[in-house]
Amino acid sequence: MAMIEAQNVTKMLNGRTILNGVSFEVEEGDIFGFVGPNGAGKTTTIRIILGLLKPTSGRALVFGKELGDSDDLRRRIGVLLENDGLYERLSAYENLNYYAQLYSVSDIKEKIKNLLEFIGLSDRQNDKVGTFSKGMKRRLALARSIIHDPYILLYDAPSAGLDPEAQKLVRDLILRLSGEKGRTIFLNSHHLDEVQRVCSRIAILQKGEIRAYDTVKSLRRKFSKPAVEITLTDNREVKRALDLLNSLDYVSECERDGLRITAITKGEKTSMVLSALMKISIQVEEVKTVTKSMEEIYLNVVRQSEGII
Amino acid sequence: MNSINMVWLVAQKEIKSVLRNKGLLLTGSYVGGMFGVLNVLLSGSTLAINNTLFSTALLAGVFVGYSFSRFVFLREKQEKIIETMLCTPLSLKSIWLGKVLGVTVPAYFFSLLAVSLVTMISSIMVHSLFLPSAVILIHIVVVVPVFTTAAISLMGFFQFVLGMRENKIIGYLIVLVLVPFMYPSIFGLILGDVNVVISWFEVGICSIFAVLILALTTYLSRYLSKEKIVTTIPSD
Repeated sequence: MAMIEAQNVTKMLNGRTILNGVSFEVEEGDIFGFVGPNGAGKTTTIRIILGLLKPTSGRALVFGKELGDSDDLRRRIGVLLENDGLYERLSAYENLNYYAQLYSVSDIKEKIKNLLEFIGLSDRQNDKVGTFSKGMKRRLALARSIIHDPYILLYDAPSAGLDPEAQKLVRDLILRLSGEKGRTIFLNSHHLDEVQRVCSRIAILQKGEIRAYDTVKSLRRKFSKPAVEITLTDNREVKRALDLLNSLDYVSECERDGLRITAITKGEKTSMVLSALMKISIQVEEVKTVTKSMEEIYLNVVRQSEGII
Repeated sequence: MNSINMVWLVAQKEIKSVLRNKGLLLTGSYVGGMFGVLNVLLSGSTLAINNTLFSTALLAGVFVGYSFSRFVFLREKQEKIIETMLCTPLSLKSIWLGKVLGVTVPAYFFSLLAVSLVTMISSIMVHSLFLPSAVILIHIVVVVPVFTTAAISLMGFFQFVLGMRENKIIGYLIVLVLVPFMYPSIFGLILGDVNVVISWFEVGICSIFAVLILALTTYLSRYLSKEKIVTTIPSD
């Protein structure tokens, strides 16, 4: 059974279609990345999953059921939305204590102590949250989201506004929750590098429709052309190398940047390219297989759906 | 934890937040204190003091309640904290009731503060301990908290389901209507006679109004939904 499932979800608001036939499944233990440009409908999707909005048609299921007003199901879900959900006039400890009580957590003191240590805010536990920096608030909000040890976590841009160290903390936490505890995580993010590093499966949403939905590996295979990057030692040999590469039937395109040549190949041909160059005695400093970054894949998908490519 | 405990948990948090907000405390003290003092100085006779207590207790509770509810309902919505709250195991009604209680308790406290000030100053003015009449006492102890609760429930409902612009308009209307009412002289004029004796009839009318507001709020509560709240959250 999928832990989170969207079945042909459509949402209209004020006569405007926000989501149009969105479908996906998030399996147990998956870290699911939901990416897309601003206004694509990511937050609406998360709100529908959480039962804050009702879909105009289709269904969004969590643990196989619509979340709606089920208090019991919500007890098993942790959320971190765009807002930290923290009360500025309460201290860090009071905030965690409040949410822990709302979720009927046992051993509250011990749990809060451990969480504050984990996020590095033990020494600020009695300070009002209003005095915290944005990064500190986000870290505290992360602790808040897991205080009741939820099975499913829905995170909306969890590392937004965080410094690199705190971003790493978020990534490590997500990986730990999924890897060690088998928790299912739905990650709404703009941070493509983060998505690439932690997510097992990705959906790219644009204008309310899913444009791509697969594992990171499959998306790479689908959207990136295999390429070989060759760095030569001698500038005088660049022309000869280019002539050779252009003559090879498994090379479809070549680009030059100084001593570096990028050859788009038909399939994985790194070793063949290298031996062809060595056959005509071209000195090569470095050869490497190039894969597209998540950012390139994302832009590719978005542009393709906009008809730019 | 049962739902009553949950409501009380939310209420406690709100009371704590209100009491830590210097701006709100200042507003409460101003409305409760200043209007209490002003009203008693504007009135004169013992009879007028009873009338002053009648109106001050009620209107201070509602006015302070309105200021506090803006912070507890509207600001939480404006800052989008409400979204996280709606994802907790709490039902929407528990959140709403908890907030109403969390606003009513401190608002009623400031209403009592106004009443105490009016009583104290009146005692000084008449050179003996002034004691409100039995009708006024019942009004302060029973009717005022019920009326304040009803008014805060209704205001909280509107603050939850309406957008920011609509709430602003309602806010202006409340201030426009309530401020003139704070003065017993004007209140007296509306009653038709400055020296009108507040009897069980007036207190009864107030009670009926409170019950009617509660009934209206209960009826309207069927239109309160998470979707209504979320879709009226202001976008950045």
